[in-house]
Amino acid sequence: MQAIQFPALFLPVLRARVPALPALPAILVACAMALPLAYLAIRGAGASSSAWELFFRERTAQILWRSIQLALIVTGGSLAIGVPMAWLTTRTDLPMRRTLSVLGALPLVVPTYVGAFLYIAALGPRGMFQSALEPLGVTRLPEIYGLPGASLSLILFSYPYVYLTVRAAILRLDPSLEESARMLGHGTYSALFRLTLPLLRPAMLSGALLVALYALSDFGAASLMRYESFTWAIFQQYQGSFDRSVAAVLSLGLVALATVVLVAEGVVRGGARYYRTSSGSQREAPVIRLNRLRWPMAVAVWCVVAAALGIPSAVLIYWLVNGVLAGEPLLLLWSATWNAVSVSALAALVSVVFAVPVAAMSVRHPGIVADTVYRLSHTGYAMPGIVVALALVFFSARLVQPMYQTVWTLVFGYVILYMPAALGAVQASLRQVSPGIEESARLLGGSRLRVMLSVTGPMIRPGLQTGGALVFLLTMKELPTTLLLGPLDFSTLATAVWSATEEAFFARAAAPALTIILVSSIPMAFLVLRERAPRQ
Amino acid sequence: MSDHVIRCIELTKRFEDVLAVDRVDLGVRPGEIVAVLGASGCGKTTLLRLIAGLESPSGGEVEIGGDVVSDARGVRPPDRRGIGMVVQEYALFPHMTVAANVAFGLNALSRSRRDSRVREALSLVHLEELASRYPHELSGGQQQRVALARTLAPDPVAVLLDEPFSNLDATMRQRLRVEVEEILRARSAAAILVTHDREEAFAIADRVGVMIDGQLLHIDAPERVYHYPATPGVAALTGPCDFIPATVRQDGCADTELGTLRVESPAGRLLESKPAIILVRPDDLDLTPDADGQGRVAAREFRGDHIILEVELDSGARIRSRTRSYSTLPAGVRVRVSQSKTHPFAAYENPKP
Repeated sequence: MQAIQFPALFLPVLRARVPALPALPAILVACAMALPLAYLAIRGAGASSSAWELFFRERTAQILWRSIQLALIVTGGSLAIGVPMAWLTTRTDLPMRRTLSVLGALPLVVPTYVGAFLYIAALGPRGMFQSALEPLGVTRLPEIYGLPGASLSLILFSYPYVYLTVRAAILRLDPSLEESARMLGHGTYSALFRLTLPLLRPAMLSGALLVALYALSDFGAASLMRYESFTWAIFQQYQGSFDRSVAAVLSLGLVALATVVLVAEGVVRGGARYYRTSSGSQREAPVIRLNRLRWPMAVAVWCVVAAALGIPSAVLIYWLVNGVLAGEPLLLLWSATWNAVSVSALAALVSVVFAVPVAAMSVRHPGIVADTVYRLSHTGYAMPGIVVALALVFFSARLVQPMYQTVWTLVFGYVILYMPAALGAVQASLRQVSPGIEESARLLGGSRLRVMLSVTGPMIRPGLQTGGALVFLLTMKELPTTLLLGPLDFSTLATAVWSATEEAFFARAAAPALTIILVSSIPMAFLVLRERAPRQ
Repeated sequence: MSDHVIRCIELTKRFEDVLAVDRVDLGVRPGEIVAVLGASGCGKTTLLRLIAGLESPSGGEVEIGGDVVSDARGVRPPDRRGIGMVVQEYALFPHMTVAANVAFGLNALSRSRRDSRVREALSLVHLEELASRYPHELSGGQQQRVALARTLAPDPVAVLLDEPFSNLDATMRQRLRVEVEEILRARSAAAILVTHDREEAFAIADRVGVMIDGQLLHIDAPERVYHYPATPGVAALTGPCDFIPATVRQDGCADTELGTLRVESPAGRLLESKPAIILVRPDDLDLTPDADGQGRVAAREFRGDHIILEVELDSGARIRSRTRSYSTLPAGVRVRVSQSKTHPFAAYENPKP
């Protein structure tokens, strides 16, 4: 009788009859991904009452409000820039449309902390801009520190999340919908506002979600701009206080905030499940003539590109030249570059390998097991980098001491954070492989594993590559996890930039910052160019 | 001239090196339903899109209500042409209810006028009770009706229908075809229907046009197109057909393996004393068992409501004949082939004598 009780708990799992091959590894991956959150919850529950008291101070509420403010402004700004840019570069006769569609995505490779320091160097007190104006008697510029600077640098370097998702959605839209609107008597702009934009709402929402979560989790830009957000407070607590459970409690607060954003997005999205986009061979949508707006729009887009790419590159190159002239050693850069590239590549590889069984479960064997596995694998999506890092610090320092401050823990942290990005790409490509193909291969006598490796694998390779490129790109510029989890003398490009900027050694920061941008541009270009390649 | 609702003159569209529409002349009179029949890729959809203003012509012009709306110089945008279009996949707006879809083209009206027009349009297609549903909650046939209601609601001067029934199953296709025809006739709306289904084209249209490789090769009453197709190619597209060699005489008859047959040249060419071929449809001929006949039954195919018998003539030519489903004529038996139809056969110049 007793024996029945325990398996009864797993009855739904057993009843689901999922084959062990995707199920077992998928469940293992899901457990690993959920580990930091689980551990954090345990730590939070066990935190001293004084830690909780600290949490419920008025000051916490202030910090919370600051983070919310920042997230709202950044999300709004990113939508305001990303959506029009996506439409202009895909559907109109904007001059140099193709060049601009790549340039529009590129700011994503500029880490926000690099962007922030460049804007401080350019516009801050005694910065380049003010020095240039000095002879004219300008001794003070409007304050860049605080909310304006933090939102500016976050908007300029994270709007591509909106731009890219909306762009992809526009390219997938069925042109016959817009044509029908035209046939029903709507002009170009009436069709745009009454039909196309409402159709793009789900894409805008997912882009906005990415930006909002990013703004909440951003550590570098907010700190450099001296904006006391939640991440900043967690870092302060972690570094400055003996009772690290305060940091754990604050982290739980940040996770709660991110969860609220996720839930809100789910509620707003609501019944949007039925949004249909046609697939298969179809006409290209007609190019819309901007007529009188053509050049004003071009100027506006170029302004964004100048602000997000032109000014930062100019400042970077200026400081790089200055630094080299002043004898700044570049030697250190080689090991930092090697470290950054190798951990990023490793994180990309592990993420893709982890993503495959989870994607296989959710696409091929949907059900309660797949659903749970899928949700748990997305833990890192809602968890800011600094929180994942902290949880892993606690976990490894306490429970698996040999792993504490090793490259493996660092890579694990990256994988938790960015595996969901790879998962999306792998899942999308797996959906395009008809189950009939796998079934035929099985009927021809292939084992499940062999079919996976020799039939499905090659067919989903584009998805694996996209996912890997995405993880690589994100890992290259990741800062807080690298700072907290990296081995003691382990320096990457991100930490090199950070330690230099923290002390305002702009010249020393320029070379590693430029290297991050250049190295990440390679997978970025790969992603944008792939999107434009004809879909099968 | 202006008795045409839609008129295409020498209309041409070139996509890079492909002539999708090649000098098409087509006029549609008020209340007339014209079907354009063609295989996929023949340019029939492009023809509709040119008329709709969704493509600009490479040459020729389109007139609507007597006004030139498209020519090589410019194109009046689709929203200012006053014609409606139903496309193959219906293109219903997925994020709007049925009522909102139908109301989308009634922008200029006041709210109350708009609501009453939406109700009117939905009752026309018998879907009043589904007004608040979303497109994904409807069956294919219902989606099709919504698309039609949406197109008709703004009261267009003409309706273009691009393969409107091709996504439906056979029974539904037939039912909707009848329904759509009734609705169009009741409003005496002019319509151009584009399809690859010859039965559909014949059943619904006042005139059928046959399009091959971008050219409108023949446009006429359905019976005329079927019995006297302009070219052998048009004959093949409009129904099962066989050709037998013939020698045309001065008196409008031709000598063939099947005897002397009365003939007519759809192209109006003089075929006398040239090698010619004659179009034979399966229902043109009767078979009777006869040891002295002109051929033997080579194959027998039971089709349910009829049987197709393939006869190999002594010359080696093959013709098909349609007989009743209870015919017992077995394969292998020799038969006499006699003419069952009373009007002349269509004759063409033999392309490969």
